Amino acid sequence: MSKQASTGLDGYRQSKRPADWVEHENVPPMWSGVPHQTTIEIVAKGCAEDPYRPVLIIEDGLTITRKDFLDRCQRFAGFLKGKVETGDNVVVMLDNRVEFMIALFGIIANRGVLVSIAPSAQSFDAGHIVSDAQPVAAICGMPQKPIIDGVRTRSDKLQHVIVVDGEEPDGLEAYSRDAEPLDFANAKCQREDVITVYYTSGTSGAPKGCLLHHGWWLRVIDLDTRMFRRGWQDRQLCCLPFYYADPAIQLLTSLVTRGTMVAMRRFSVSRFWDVVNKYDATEILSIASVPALLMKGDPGPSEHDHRIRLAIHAGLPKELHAQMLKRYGFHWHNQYGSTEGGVMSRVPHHLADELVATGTMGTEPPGVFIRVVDDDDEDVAIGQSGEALIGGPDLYKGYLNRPEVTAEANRGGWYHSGDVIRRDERGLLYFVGRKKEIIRRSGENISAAEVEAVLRSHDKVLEVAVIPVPDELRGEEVKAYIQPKPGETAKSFPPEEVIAFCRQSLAAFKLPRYIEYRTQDFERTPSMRVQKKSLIEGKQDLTKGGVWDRETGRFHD
Amino acid sequence: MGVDVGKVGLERDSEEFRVSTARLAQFAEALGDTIEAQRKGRVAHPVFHHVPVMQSMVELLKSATTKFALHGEHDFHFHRAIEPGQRLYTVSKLIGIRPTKAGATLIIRSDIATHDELKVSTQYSTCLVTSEKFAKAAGDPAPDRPVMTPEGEGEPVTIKLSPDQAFRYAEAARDYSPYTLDTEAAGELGFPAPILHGMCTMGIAARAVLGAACQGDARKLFRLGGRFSAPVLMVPGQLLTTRVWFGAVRGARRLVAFETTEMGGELAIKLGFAEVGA
Repeated sequence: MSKQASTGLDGYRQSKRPADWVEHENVPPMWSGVPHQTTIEIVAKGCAEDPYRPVLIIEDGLTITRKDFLDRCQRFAGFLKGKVETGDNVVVMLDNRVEFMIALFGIIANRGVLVSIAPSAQSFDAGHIVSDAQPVAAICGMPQKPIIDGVRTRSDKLQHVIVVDGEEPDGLEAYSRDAEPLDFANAKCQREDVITVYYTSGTSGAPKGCLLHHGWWLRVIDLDTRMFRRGWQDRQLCCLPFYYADPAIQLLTSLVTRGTMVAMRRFSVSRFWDVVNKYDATEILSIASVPALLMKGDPGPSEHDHRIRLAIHAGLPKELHAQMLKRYGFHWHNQYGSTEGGVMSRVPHHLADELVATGTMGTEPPGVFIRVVDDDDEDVAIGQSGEALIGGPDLYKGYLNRPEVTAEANRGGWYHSGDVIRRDERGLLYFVGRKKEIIRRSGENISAAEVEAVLRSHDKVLEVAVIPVPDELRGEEVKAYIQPKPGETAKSFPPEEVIAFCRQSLAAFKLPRYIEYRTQDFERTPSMRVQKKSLIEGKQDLTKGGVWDRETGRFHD
Repeated sequence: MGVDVGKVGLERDSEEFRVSTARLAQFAEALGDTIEAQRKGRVAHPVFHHVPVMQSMVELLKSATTKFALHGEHDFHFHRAIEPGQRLYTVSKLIGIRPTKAGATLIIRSDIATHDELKVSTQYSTCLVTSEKFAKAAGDPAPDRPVMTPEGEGEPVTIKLSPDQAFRYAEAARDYSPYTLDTEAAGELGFPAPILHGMCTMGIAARAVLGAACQGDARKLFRLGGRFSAPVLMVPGQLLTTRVWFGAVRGARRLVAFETTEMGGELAIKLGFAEVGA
């Protein structure tokens, strides 16, 4: 499987940036951040360089030094030797615990491939991945074992189920205690080896396994390290699930710059600033609704007396941006990233003050190229919305077992992101919406994300989701699900007030036609986004069953 | 070779260092600090000024020599206290190289300022590289240290070190030098046991100086320095005794001398000096 055919992504042409477009300034040269060839080199060198500095601290106090981490990784790799051969897949289904990272590098050092499964997956989603990836081994925690046991027969090759059990970080010791260590300094990895597969929760069709090689990882780490300088006093806070790529990126960038990663078991508003302070975090990486949820939290002294100097966030809510900066005292750089394309765009550091609350996701780092195109892949005019196409070296290697889907996504040598964006006259990029989440109402394109951001900025709102509802007259209508904050209800925050609030920020055609209140949390995708599929498939008629209709001005049963 | 004289004049800056109450309190805690304002993290223990400086200082040493450089002397000049909410920027510069009988010394000057350009401190680190012979000096020497001849026994303050003292300091300063934490790594440098960070010894000595001469107020300390003359081995029962002597008043400042001895009677810090508010 590591012998992938060319993905066709080499054909992008390096579009010449107009001289008046903004650039990231003071960025050191390409590959000065990581002059390595593989991620295993990063681990080996980073651990040898400063052996007693912690590489990872978990929020409840568990601290792993580099020396200890390397030792555990090398012994687990030694255990896997002979069981995992070059190109073999290994599914990993674990909560946020140290053994996840040990397993990751143990697999990679054997030239195997970590296939990530959400620890909360059930037999349907886990089964899909196991039958698609045909792993030779599965690594899971005790809570996940029944799921793996139930689906293991769906891989003909699956020989080993490795259960992480007992006290962290010793959960793999039952296997690796007596193993002959595999010396990472002499690992035989190749830069083009695929090392991880993450299933992307597409809005339609079954999830696809996105293949990432060492080169993808190195490029993301190099870009990130060059765009933001870190040092020995820096500790990156990880509040995302480990089975996602971001935590491992944070771990590797920490190894490169002699820092430490501080990880939460899971994101929590109430614990967030305590963890930041207790473990002296200096930087935050976040996605999805993290800042919106933080802003809903009660203010406390620890939220401004801390050492955080930057947050990098994908999909920053522009309505909250200025308040976030004021309340917490550091910049939040909006970023555009994806599994396939890595880091595609970020707000340039030197323009951070000026770009607060503009909603821009900045511009491409050096070496990344983005085009904005129409349905015929023709470039649209500045200011017009269109699909983002991504070009550059070391993008993803394709989708597992889906050559035709890969070819379609990569047609013309550019990765078709499915994201609708626009670019302004300074070259700055703005997210409009997912191509499939654009609501088409009477010929107008409405971004669900834009309406959601407005609603989410209201004090009485905890979380929202906006979806299209089929409509005979207008094609589609806008429906908003609102989960009010505890103590608030449809009575204290009636639909009329919702509409009046939206009217201050949104064009009339974007106002929700339907509103449904919820008291329960939304079901979420593994990447913490609201699971809209479950809303859309939740009931036969999305306009009935306690839904308020703006045209009639009342609730319909 | 071993030491590159051509590197004199080289500068290295550091990324922004933000100061929080929690971090200052952690540092004070690691030094067993008894001064309330420092324990609560309202103001930094004076030796905390070394923390934002450490990386750029070590990077300069690494670019000038491939050999192990021992921190031999340090001289803090305090312009203002470090307090929560400050955003600190450091620039370090290799200002000079001097031949000595034992080899060569590298002199690094580090300046800390806040983001709004208020001066916080200036520090001179003198680091020793052994087995190097040099015909001539390059660049500038470190500033002269104040001269004072202590008279009498001095006021002794003895502090017993906990077995995990080096670990606590490593964590508080983020200085995880292997020879402070690992017997084997210390052995490779010729030490029979891990040695305590020189700056931790200085920090413990500073407690005595602050207590005896500054009424526990770090803002009354203007200068602090000394020579790390013998390693403090992390062996069971290790303790540090600091003696403080009062000297002449010059203008608004009084000169103070101190010495710190370890359990075996070796001088861990000799020719220690401070300038305090008179």
